Amino acid sequence: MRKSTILAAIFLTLVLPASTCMIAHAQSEVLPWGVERVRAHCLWDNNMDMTVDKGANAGQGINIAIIDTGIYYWEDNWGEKHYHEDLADNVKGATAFRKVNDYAQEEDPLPDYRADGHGTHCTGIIGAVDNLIGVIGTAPRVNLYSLQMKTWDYLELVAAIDWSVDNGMNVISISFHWENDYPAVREACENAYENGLLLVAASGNDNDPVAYPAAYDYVVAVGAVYEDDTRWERSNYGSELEFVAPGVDVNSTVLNNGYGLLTGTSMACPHVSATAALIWNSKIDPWYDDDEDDEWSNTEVREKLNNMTLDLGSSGKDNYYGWGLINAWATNQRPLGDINIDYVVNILDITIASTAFGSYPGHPNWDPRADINIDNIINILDLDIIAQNFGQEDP
Amino acid sequence: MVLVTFAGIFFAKTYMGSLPINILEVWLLDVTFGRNWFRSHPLRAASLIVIVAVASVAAAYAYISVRLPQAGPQVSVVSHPLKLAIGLDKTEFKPDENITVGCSVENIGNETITITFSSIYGYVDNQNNFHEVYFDFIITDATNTEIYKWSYRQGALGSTYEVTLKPGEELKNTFTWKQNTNYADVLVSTGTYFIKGIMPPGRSEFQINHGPWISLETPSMTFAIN
Repeated sequence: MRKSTILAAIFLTLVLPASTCMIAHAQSEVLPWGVERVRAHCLWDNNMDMTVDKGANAGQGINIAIIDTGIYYWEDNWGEKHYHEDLADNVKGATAFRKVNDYAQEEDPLPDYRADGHGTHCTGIIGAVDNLIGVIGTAPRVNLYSLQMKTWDYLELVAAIDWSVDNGMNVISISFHWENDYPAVREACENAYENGLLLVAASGNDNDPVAYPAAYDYVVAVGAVYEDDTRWERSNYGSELEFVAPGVDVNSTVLNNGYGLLTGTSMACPHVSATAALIWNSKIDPWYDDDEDDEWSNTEVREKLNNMTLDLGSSGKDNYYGWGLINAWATNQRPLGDINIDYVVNILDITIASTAFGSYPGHPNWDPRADINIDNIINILDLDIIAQNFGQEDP
Repeated sequence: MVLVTFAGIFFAKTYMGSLPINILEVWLLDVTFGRNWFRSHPLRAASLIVIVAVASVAAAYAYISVRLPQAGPQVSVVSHPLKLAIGLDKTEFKPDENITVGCSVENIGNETITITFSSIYGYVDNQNNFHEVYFDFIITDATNTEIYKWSYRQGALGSTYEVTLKPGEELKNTFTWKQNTNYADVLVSTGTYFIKGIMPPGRSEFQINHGPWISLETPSMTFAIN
């Protein structure tokens, strides 16, 4: 048999099916609208192939505690836990808390006990893995820690926050809300914040003033918006509201290795938690390094989150949108305007933006990387950002 | 108690061989063999009577415990197509006595409805089973001061969820109030109290068939701790 024939046979039997399989998988993995809306994928998938680019910032090494109903897992005959296949690579720990009399004791976690997989869903919004199946999270390489609440008493929240302080968490994501201000919770939040953790919480679904713990100064309060950036009508409001994020019909991981849509400020909160992790994992920006220690602190991360939103509602901060829609893309450009991530703002960035100029989502020339201010149109405002930073290099 | 019932049946089946274990079978034996069966098998007959008695008591207890307290007072409110009710098992309680509170909502209309709750309330019990909570209740004293609210310490999950109710179907929750106040589990003093039921818990609301967001509240009902 001729050599070329053998090579062709090998190609047809091995290489081609494998590559076809890859394409099929890639097509089956979904970029949820929330991740796309805050443009997190532009940071870690700049070439838009649905996988994290080599060396890209996807939240690696940052620890997020998710205080919720747990994560879906099943146990094999040897008692080994198998987490949701779209989360397993990022799950680094799990525990649970139950109120007994007047304290909360730590105990073994159950698989996510909510039929709709609430805890699993929130976890997936933060850190679903780029593994060519299901969905991708906002920070797909972050470390996930599940802290399960058993009776939903506020003492369990206190215990979970304290656990986070003691176990080296960077961010705490809380998709629970309480009606009342409990001194013990306030003190736990204050203690965690003073120990350098960033606490992010859902504002609540009551169309009322921001609920607790989101209402505390030490906690970032997050409301929910629809896909068209309008406020979800149940989202709680008030001066404490800091950001809004995607929260309606959000696709993420649920029970039994499945996927599903959920709605609420619970879904908005994890987008912000993950965006904070992305900032935390980036090289310190001297502009924000207030204490000049060359490391991000929780207050510096929070300040950067504040300065890079898409302003919605009334101009500036308002009670229904806070500072606006979280912008994971602009908060992580180094420097701002570097949309191809070569760490310098130059003619290449202008070329990308110019090529996509005038486009919007769905337009054939649409390139989300060039929509720096995430207002869903690439226009003079985006070019202006590039122009203002032209020539700057990564500090 | 249900377990006791099953244990009794299991015991009878396993250790007493052909021993009949229900009334129908006893009656059939009686008709078929006459009363001599009982005379000729006194031990088995005595055991049979004990097992049937225990099983009957256990079954009755289990039935009562999963129902709303019917013997005591109950108040309700109708907001078509829903009927919200709250009930107690009696009107007078001793200090320190656990008070069982039952809440239910029934679809009294002719069509299946979808109820969307704006937030999720619930808990995992000591057997690690999760329970949804659809209702809240508030207890006030004679001066109309709020003494206890079920949701006071309870967190809510910030996502919506839906429940479908066919005509005649209902949702139920049974609560145990230990006569404690909202804070610190301090027991309340003796006196007259009022209780009302609310759907859904806390500040959350619900909608029927994606209509306006609402909540329901029953009238108050009086009870005493003496």
